[in-house]
Amino acid sequence: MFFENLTAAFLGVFEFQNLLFLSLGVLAGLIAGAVPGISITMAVVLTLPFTYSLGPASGLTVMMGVLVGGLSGGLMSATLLGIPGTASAVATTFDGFPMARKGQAGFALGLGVWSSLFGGLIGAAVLITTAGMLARIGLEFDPWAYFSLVLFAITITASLAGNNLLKGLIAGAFGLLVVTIGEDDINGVARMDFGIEALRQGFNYLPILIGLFAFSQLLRDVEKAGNAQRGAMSVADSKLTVEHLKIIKTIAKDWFNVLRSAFIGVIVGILPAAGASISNILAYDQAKKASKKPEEFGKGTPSGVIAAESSNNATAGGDLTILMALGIPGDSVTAVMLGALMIHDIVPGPNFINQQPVLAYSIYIAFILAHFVTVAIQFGMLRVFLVSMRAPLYIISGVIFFVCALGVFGINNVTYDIWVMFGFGVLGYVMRLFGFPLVPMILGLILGSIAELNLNRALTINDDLMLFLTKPWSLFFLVLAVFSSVFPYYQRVRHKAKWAKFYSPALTASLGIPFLMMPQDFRGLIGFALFALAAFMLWNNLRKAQTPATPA
Amino acid sequence: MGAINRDTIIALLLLLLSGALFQSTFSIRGLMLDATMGPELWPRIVIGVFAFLSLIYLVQSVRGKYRAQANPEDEELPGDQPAQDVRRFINPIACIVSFAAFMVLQSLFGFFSAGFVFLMAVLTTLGPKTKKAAAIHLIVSAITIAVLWALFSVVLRMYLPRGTLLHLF
Repeated sequence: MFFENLTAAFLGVFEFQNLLFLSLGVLAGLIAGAVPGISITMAVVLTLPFTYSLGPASGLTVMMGVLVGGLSGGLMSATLLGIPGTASAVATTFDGFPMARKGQAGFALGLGVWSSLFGGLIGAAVLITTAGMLARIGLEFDPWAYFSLVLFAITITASLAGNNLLKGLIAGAFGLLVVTIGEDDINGVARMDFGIEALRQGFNYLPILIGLFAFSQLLRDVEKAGNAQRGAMSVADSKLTVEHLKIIKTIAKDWFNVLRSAFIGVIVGILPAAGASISNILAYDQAKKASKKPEEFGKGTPSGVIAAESSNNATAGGDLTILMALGIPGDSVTAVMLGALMIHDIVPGPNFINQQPVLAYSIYIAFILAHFVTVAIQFGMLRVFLVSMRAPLYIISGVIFFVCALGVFGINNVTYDIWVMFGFGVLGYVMRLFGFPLVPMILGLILGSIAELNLNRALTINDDLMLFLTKPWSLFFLVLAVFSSVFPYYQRVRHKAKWAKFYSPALTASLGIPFLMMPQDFRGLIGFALFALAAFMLWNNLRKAQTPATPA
Repeated sequence: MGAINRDTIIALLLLLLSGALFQSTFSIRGLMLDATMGPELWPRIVIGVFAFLSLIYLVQSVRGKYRAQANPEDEELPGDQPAQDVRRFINPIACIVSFAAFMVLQSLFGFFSAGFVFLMAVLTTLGPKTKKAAAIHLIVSAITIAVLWALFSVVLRMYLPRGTLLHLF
């Protein structure tokens, strides 16, 4: 059965029209990723309406192409201009740009493209091997666990908003609130419509996503008049020769860096709300610390580019693992993909891989194939890109404003959706101005109905609220939610406050409790192991605190 | 204690919004059946959390905790203007007004006709004010509309409003 499904998936993805869609998606993603001001999320969001008339497999193929292309596209402006095209390419600028200034632009770009491929393939390997395992664990989740998981996803998103934790939580709560407007999914009762007929239908995800991510970003981009009128990417003609063999040899010598960076990328991707914007910097930081010549980082060392680009593509593998296994988006891009799947009446989750194996395998294959297509297009069309990117940003922005309206109208053929996009676009712009992050709001929107549904189920089965603490998986996610809320404070004071040394041991020990509550014996062993680890961490932290600093 | 600032005003508005939304939950029709969780419960829980967070925000803003903070999701481009420079809002406001006008016009003159006018307005507002630029804007707008019309109306056969006054495309 497995081989039959895999074969069906292969044949589906390798159909000429799907290959064409994938290539177009990669091209769109590369262009979007290369242009500072257009994010990968925006590119995926803008692609969605065009996939509406396609089947789920074809639609997802396009979006895979946009995702992978976008992750690699940021490399070009990061290397050639010193401006990251996307947040996932920030660390690439640290060494890519200096390399380009030394006349090694082709070498830097080649390193980035090939590292992206290898990192992405490692991410794909993790996706294929662990999504199924994680899904089997997900089948154990009851309504209490799902509700707590949603809570954890929202709190960790907010906590990764850095100093804006409170604003992140407010944005998340606001997202939860918006999704309650309109007809209630469970009982069909109209809620909070203020007597307005149009609000009774609530809001469709897609116009909100396009408004918040695309429309508001464009408004932000055109603020700065000087930047709006310059070329999206203006690069003087320069030698862009790429020596593939030399590049692959360089990467092969640095194979441990590739593995470590990809591993970091996957782990970050698995965490809800943490995405490639974080993994590339973490991987770079680790590569620098592990290097025998850390002083060369920031001056144009290949290891810096390799670390950043391997990790950002691997992150996508982690994101997709969590999306497919548990139905929880790993970041804003997968949140959009979740919305897209739901529009096609597909609900990813623990049963997804079992019930829709051909579609699931299609996603794996498209993800892997997208990396090879990206390499081919990026190298084959490098000069064409550079010419097309000379178009002024304001022209690109103006066209995209109109394309947003067109795409949104295509969802339901009603102008109400365009007004929704417009309204949330202005709201998103205002939120950005006042320092409110958008990703927690998107997660609140996507996950709000899941949270309410599972809370309703839980209370219908048994209205005892203590069950949220006595059910093991629910307790597990609640512990994570509490500690993730405190995490930003811990990060700020970890070297100063006395309580900070108890944070990691307390988290580890607290996570052991739910495992001890689980019936399977080996999970009890995991619980004990976590307690032992917590004890060791506490002892180590106290020892370090008591040891006086060695004088220089 | 800091003076009343922008964040304080926002916090107050959020609290007002919470109040209005909570008030509206009383008009949610109850279920005839006896259910543990009625349709009004979840919104009230969320509004409660939202109001609580807004209250903390209010207290922190009055204490002067917030300065002009950049949004962590934004990447600031080089040559950025300071946050207090109100000239930076001219272009976004122009785009917002143009888009609102487009929405009104499309119902009268058709989606693509209004779209052409919208594109010209936006490109003219944001771009250089020269004859050459105007010619480029005209060409770009015309080509964009033509390509999108061909793609959506002809290839994808998507219905788009033709306008009540002129029945254009």
